[in-house]
Amino acid sequence: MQVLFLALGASRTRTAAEESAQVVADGGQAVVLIDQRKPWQRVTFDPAVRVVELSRLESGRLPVRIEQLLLYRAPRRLFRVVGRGGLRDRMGRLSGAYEARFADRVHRRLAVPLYRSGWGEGSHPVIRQGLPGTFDLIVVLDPISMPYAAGLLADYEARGIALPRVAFGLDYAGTAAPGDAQGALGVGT
Amino acid sequence: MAAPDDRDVAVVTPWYPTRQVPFGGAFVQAMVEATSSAWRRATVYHVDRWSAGVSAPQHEAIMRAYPGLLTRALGESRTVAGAALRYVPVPVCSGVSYAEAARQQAEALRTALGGTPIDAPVVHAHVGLSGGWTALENARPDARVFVTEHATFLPSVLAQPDSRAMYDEVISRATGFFAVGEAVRSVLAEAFPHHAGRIGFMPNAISFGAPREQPVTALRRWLYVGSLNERKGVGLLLEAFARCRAEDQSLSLTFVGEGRLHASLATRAAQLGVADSVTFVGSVLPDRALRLIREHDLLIHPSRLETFGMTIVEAVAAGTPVLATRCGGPEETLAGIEDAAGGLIDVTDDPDTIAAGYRRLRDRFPHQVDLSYARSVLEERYGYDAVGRAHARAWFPPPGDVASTTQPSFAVAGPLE
Repeated sequence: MQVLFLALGASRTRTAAEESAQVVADGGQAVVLIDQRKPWQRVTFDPAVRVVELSRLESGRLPVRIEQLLLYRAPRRLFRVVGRGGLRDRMGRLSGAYEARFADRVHRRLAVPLYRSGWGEGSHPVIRQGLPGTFDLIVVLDPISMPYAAGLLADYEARGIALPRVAFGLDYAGTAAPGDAQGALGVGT
Repeated sequence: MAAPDDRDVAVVTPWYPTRQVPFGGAFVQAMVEATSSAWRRATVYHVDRWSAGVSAPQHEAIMRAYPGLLTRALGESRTVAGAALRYVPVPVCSGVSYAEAARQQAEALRTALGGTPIDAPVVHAHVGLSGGWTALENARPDARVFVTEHATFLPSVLAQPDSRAMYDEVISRATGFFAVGEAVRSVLAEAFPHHAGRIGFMPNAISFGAPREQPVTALRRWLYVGSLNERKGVGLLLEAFARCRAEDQSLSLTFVGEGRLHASLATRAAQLGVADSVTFVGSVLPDRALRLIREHDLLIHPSRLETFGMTIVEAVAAGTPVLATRCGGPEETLAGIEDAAGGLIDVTDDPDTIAAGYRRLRDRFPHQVDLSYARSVLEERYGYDAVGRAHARAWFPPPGDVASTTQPSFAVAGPLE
């Protein structure tokens, strides 16, 4: 079974790690789509689970390329040009401070919400390109992932492909044998 | 013997164990299991609040996608005792009032049910607003709706005018309204004196399986089970442990649970020179927590406020002595058997209170502690049979027994009887 976990909000990391490992243990293939690695640094995924960053899939899109150029690449170049000779260390520190205190904040609070708000439901071409093939089950693990799930389903429908099942957790996907909702998947309650 | 066909029960709860929060709502799961002889069919509606700090456009996109996904995703799985489980996540913006969140939860369940009411003559909700309001708004017109309140954050709920008004309405509309203990009931009775006579007690159910095989002989291995946050008093516990360990190098302390104080506790343990004897296990499933309780010598529960304190009763059920604060729940649950079960200490800001409590308990252990007696008393109060019977009497009162739902005292917890 091919299972896509949408975990873009990074609020249910434990669930994502456990349930994707469960899919692999049951002989299936699991892909976990996250936004960026940073909130997941302390999470260990099963080595057979494929973890994909949406931000990387999106990096080729024009608005993102423009944003990256304006917020990061151009200022870095400027700091490098100015920071020659004795100013090198000072400009290096200034560049780091600029990115941490300004660029990252603008990216996180302004740029991402701006393009993501329009891309959620319309993001399927990016995801389809980065994750070719079809899935049997889409597991939605947080609110931020919901528009993406809806977009993917609409895309399946538009392409005339059999719709994957949707669940808000592997334990609630109806794949469990009769018995305890969690115990049936190998985790006792 | 199978229960009659009209004994279908729905349980509406915002808390139930999940992969993400294995301990969350363990008491609701226990209630479902404890009442299994009373119902023919039970369905648990876990209406789980998914909070998200998102922008307004993001929230709009989420809410456009949500109903379709909810309708498509829903299916039943199985939980304990053969009961059905329907999981309904509810995206809620961070910062909304409790009343607004409850309205959204009620609306979500309505969507999940396709606009039809819950098909059960009895609906039992947990937590006044998020469970109670959701149940009342989705129950059949002829359904009998019961609510049990457990929340320690009740004062915060009642401090919001819209939430307080909604709460008043929930108590008015419910067939029966229960508090899990006096710590909760007194808050409600003070806020709603006109309802005071309608608020009864319904204790949590505790499994009294086999106790530990080897009795505790010395109180060396300390255990804490719960969240690692300020309200739980875990910082004071660590300080007290360091002081006691300075007197006895054989002592150890295990923290079971997670929380924002984890890192600072680990740092402080190193500063106190006790890092080698302090273990952080993290959050574990209830089965493992019970195993850990059996593998330790003493459960210490230093909470500042607790409405019930399930782990305390679970520890005594497992044959492990307890040292708990008088923080609301424990003095009720252990009423009359404080010394038999271990000991109670006051809630203070001084770690020496815990240390002194430990020394007193250590000095009278095991001769002046009677865990088998404490266990038998608690089983009568909180065992599955006792709590199952209390629910059954409320849900399906014998003909002519109007007192079961019109008077709240029928389900009074043991220590108050």
